[in-house]
Amino acid sequence: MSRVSALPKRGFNLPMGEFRRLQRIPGGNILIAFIAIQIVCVAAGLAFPAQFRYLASANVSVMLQAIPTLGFISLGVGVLMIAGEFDLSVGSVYTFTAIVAATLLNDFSVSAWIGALVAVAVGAAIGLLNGLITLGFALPSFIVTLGAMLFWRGMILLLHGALSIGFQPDATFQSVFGGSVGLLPMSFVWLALLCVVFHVVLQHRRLGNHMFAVGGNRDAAYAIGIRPAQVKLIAFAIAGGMAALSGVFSATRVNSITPVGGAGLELQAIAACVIGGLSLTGGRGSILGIFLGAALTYTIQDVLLLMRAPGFYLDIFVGALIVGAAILNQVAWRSSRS
Amino acid sequence: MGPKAMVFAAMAAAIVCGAASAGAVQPNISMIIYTAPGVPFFNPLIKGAQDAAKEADVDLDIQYANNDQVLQNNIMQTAVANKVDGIAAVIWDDHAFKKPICDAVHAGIPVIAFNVDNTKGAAASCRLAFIGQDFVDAGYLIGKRMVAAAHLKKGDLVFTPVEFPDAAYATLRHEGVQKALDEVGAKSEIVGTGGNLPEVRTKMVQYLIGHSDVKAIIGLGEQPMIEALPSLKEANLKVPVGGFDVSKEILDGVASGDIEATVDQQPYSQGFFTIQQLALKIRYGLYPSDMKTGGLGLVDKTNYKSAVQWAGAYR
Amino acid sequence: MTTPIYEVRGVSKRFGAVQALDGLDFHLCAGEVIGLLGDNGAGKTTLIKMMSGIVRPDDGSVFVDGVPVVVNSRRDSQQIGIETIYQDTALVGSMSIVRNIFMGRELTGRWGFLDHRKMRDTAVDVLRTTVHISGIDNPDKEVGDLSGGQKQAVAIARAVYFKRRILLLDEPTSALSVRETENLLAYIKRLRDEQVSSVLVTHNLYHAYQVCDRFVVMSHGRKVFDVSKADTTIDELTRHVVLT
Repeated sequence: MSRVSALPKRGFNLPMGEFRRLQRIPGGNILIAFIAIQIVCVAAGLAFPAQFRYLASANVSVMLQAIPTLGFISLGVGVLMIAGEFDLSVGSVYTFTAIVAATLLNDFSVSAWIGALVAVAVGAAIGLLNGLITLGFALPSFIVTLGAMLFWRGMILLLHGALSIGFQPDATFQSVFGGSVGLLPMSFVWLALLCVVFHVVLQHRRLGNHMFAVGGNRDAAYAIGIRPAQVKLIAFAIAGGMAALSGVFSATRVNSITPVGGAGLELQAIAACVIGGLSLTGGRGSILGIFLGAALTYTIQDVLLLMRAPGFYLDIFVGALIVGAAILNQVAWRSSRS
Repeated sequence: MGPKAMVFAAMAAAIVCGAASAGAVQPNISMIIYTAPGVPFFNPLIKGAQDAAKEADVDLDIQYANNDQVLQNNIMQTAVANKVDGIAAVIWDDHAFKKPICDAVHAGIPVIAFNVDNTKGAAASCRLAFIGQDFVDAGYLIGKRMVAAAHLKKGDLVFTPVEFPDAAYATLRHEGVQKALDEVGAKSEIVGTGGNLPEVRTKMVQYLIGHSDVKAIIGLGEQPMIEALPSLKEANLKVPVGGFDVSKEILDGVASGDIEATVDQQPYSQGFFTIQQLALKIRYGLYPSDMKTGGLGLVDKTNYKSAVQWAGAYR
Repeated sequence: MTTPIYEVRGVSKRFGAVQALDGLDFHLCAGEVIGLLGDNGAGKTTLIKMMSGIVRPDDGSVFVDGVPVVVNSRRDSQQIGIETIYQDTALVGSMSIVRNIFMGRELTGRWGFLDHRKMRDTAVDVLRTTVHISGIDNPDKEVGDLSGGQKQAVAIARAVYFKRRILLLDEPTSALSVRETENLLAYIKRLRDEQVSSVLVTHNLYHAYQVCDRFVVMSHGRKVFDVSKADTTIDELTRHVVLT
């Protein structure tokens, strides 16, 4: 490492300074990796516009539509991870709550707007329940939400059955949550908006500070007057609510929900958070990192699809990305200390 | 810097290689299987598609949607953005794929549905053709055969287990079966078993113990067919069995005579003719047409040997 | 005698099979520095945690300025004006020094947004003026990267900044250098002049003898000796700590 960095030190004084500055901000390392990958992709897209259609507006559009599904869920899961807990039930909640919204719309003629609100409320309530059980019985959230994952997946089949369900909201709803402004899909606009809100809450509000404190050292936070249970419950509710929101956005995009959909999203979300530099033990992370983790996961997928690589390559690459990013974060973390 | 540089280099290499290999003159076709990779049913289908791709000289890539409509949308839209020359997809949901399919067709990319079509057929979708089993006809065919084999008469109960009772293949196959049963006045009962073999058997055994008056079993999917004979044994019953799909276990049952007959939807044909028709459309503008794979052929004691010989690759 | 600003009567606390506090009586007057002594397991830390509100007594009563109160949480004790430097420092390793100092009591500006600049400036000021701990050059440093003494300094800075009436110090000098310890003890004396009372838990009788006005020796959850500095010597105190 020292050999590589020793060489360009003199010649690239300014960029190296910028580089260091970037590295210091939370999520900076992943930002550097993300920019590097984007530069390569854009360069390849410019060099081979006919063969590697990365910059085609249709491709940009599908990428921006694809990121929010994982993005919304990862935001919730990430905030919860910062507060020191896990939620493995988000994939099931994602489907369950979307089906709630669709059932309200189809069978009870409740408008999609209210249906979506109810769905998010149900998601938050499920998250809250996970939290109450976890904290009330002092259990690992990993176990409690593993149970919840199976429970709510089962409830989908019990209450709804195995059939797909259509979700055809009114035109206004469709354009506000599923439409696009120019090249920007609305779902991405909402995700960007929520990222800003989450960032502000985490970095500039008491609640966010308490989440870092509780996730970093629960006993210390308690000893100093923070109520860890209250903070964690809020984080649990956010995770559930964001899973529901993601479900509603996805249902709006494809106008349909399948009962088996969303399986595996919980681990993808944790993976996106790890790629984004969040600590599995809590107390460390940034919204920028979470967002980039989700965006990077889909960039890899998109590049593979554009190159028409066989479908199972995706898992190989994303798997390598997770471990690679974890190593990168670890190395950067250590070097920032020395 | 080390790991970062490595990631950078790997991505660059991958992209450049990909871009270079994509530069060939063969037409590009993307095929999207709707499950995760590794489902045995799709092995002959993929082989058929690959054989056709070799014969017609097209560059075929196979993607997997993991039973996720959102993912299948991503894959189809990326394929459209990528300007492939043709798309083959399973339309396993009536709503979810309308937009990407129409977008593709409007962009001049032919789309053929295989294996499962939307329940409303051509009218409800932009796809040019569907290549797969006619579920109702196939259900009627095996229904008739089982009426004869089990001497079914008015009031008799037939057990019709299926993995996912609400899925299109299940309801349509059952519709055909019931049509044949109605002709003699027999009843049937659908039980959802799920797709996990041990659970399938548990459900079936429980049902059989509770309904020892069952006169025949018609398995509407591959998993209940695989578990039909072991379940009967555990429940201490013996009734004629027939149903759908081909696997080693099912063929063994046919060989021993314990399974009367099974309808083969010929996944190899679904893969092969889907790609062939897409190639013909891309190369010569020949319009694709619907095709009922498997036709009216049953696999039974008279012809199972060829099925055994080619099972896995072609059957 | 004046009314104690803080008093407990007959408090008991049991953790499973261990009787940590056993009908303890204890009081603290304004501007008084008490040395809380006793061997390991005597119940000193439990008493400190109970006074801080993070351990609830099973039995007994608490009086503040002679008025009975219920202290059920850290917030309750905060209202009484109690600040604590915990033995295990109660810091979050993954957070910066500034954020640790203001953890749970963040300074906010308009609309409740955190006032990062004010907190940072204050932290720099407190660290420089009151604790004199060497090696803390950057208040944005993560506490996890600090040495034991530096961590203790952060915990002290936090308590010192928020101190109002009562400062509880549970083994505050264990990781400090000689000079840092002298500074801290001098600071406790200065606080006494400002009428801030302190309870100092320590194993070092010389430190205690240097600053304390009164000594309370505990054993097995009970008070076994309570004497003012004028009436005792280090030798007598040592005997009580060792023999009881």
